[in-house]
Amino acid sequence: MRVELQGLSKLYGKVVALDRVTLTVEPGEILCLLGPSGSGKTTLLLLLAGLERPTAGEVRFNGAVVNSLPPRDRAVGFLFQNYALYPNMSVRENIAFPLRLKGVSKKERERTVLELAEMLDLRGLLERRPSELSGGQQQRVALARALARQPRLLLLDEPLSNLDPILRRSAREEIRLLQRRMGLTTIWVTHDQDEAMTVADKLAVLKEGRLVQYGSPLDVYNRPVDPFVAELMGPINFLPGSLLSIDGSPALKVDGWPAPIPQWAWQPTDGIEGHCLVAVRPENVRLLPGSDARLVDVRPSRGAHIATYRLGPHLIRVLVVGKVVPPEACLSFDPGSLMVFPDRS
Amino acid sequence: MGVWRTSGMRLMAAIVLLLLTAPLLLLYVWLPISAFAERTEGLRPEGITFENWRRLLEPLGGATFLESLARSLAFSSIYCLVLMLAVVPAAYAFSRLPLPGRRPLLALLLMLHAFPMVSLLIGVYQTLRWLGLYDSLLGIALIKTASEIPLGVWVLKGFFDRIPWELEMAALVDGASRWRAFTSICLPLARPGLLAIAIFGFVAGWNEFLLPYLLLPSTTEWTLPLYIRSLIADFRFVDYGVLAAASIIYVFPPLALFAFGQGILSQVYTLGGRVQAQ
Repeated sequence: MRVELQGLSKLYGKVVALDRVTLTVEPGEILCLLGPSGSGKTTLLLLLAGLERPTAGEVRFNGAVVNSLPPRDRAVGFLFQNYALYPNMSVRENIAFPLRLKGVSKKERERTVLELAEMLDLRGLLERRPSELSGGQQQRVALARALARQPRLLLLDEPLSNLDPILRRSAREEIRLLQRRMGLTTIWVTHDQDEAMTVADKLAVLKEGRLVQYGSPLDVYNRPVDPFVAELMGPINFLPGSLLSIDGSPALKVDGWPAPIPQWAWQPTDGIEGHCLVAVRPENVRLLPGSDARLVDVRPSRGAHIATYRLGPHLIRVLVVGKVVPPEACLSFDPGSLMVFPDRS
Repeated sequence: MGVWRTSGMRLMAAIVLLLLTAPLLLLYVWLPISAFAERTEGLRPEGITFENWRRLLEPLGGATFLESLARSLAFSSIYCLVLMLAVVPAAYAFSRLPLPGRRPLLALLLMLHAFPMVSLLIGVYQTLRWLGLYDSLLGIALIKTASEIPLGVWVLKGFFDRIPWELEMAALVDGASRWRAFTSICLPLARPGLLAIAIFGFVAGWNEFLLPYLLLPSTTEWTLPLYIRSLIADFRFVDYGVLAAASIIYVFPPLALFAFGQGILSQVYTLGGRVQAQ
């Protein structure tokens, strides 16, 4: 199902939870909503589920405005952060509850419950109470319940945040495979950029209720619209600099660098002049023979090293692949990898 | 808690509690002894008889024991039912719905609860007269319900407050109406609170003496407390055997309810109603 949001706003009293968000989710896609807590991610899910009414704007499912459609008529599956399993019901009753409400016959209910239990590895647990389940099992029961009524849209509110790290990785794979197999349009809320990068087809970054950036995960990672997104998406170095014009051609002067940096190294900078903020990711910094920068710290990171070099007054983190981390080096950048932002300070 | 693990400390505690409750226990011991004895010398019975029970069934100045008993049961049950019908939706509304003026209303409820019933009696009397409900059990049931609603709402609101919002939201998304979410999720999870209010309500109705005593002048609508009082007050000599027999039956329902609901009631007293553990 195609989901479109048009200028969607939600106010709680005078507090703006969501501010004119416009975006589209294509059928079968996973859209990740990424942002710090309080950025409006969960509010957006509540609006999509019909649990809150928008103050302004439209929610459209397959082109039809559903603003005032009650939750039960939306055919939406919702996985709550704390799973919200009904403690007064067994696992079987939990999964069957949406089917019972739909008026599905007992036999049909039984069949669907077994099918879902099979799919999510819950067969031996059907008679248990939620309080007798581990976190991972509870999560799978919640997922089964969300899928039971064959939703057109699946909403996941930080589905992995209550799992331990090992389980988190396998559950992430599991949900994504399931989603792919069912071709289910999915909106996945997270504050973990790693999670967002690995599961998302599209990424929407929210900040204080506003949509700051929307695009493919790689796009957002490599071409963030502002320093906030740049930092949210992963480790990064920030350096003060200025954009100059030398002999009529643009040049980037970065604090601490001996020479202006040629244009091939940075991304287009329309509309920026003078002082600016230059950002570069550790994996885009190259080490050349030389003695400009001195090594001050090394720590291992996923089969490589993150090395910190001191260059003038600045500390710059560099991802070093390979065994040797030179104590002194000259720093350079991958072509096109420098991000330049207007200096707001 | 650790200190109670040692058997010595437990024994000590048991002895202290026994000493404290001994005077009360003696009263309860006296009841069956007197009810089945011809005469008693302190707690020592002389002669076993069922005569007290036979006399209990004889009519007494326009009222009979069995009628009073039946009326008391009916009064307490209906009162308890009406109380629940008023308290459950009110408590849910206070807990969940965005009512305008919710906080001041809640504060007002607590103040109403603190208001002593005695100070309202004259007003109650006049209101009942005006409504034509003076000298009727129905009128008393209504007054009693009104006076017990505030506490009930507060206690039950606490139980609803402890049910996570997400559970209700999940039910709505699963296809439930608001009403269905309330009956399928909230009510079962608030069951300890509902039982507690029902038990307290029934016992409060069962024990109610002041209102019927003052507002039911004719004997035809007597409840059990009034009947028992008449055993003491209306004769020059008090038949303690009959009084004991009547009292045994009178104390039985509250004792049974408290024995049955002990675990639940202690949750209410400690305000520790656990919703998750079923």
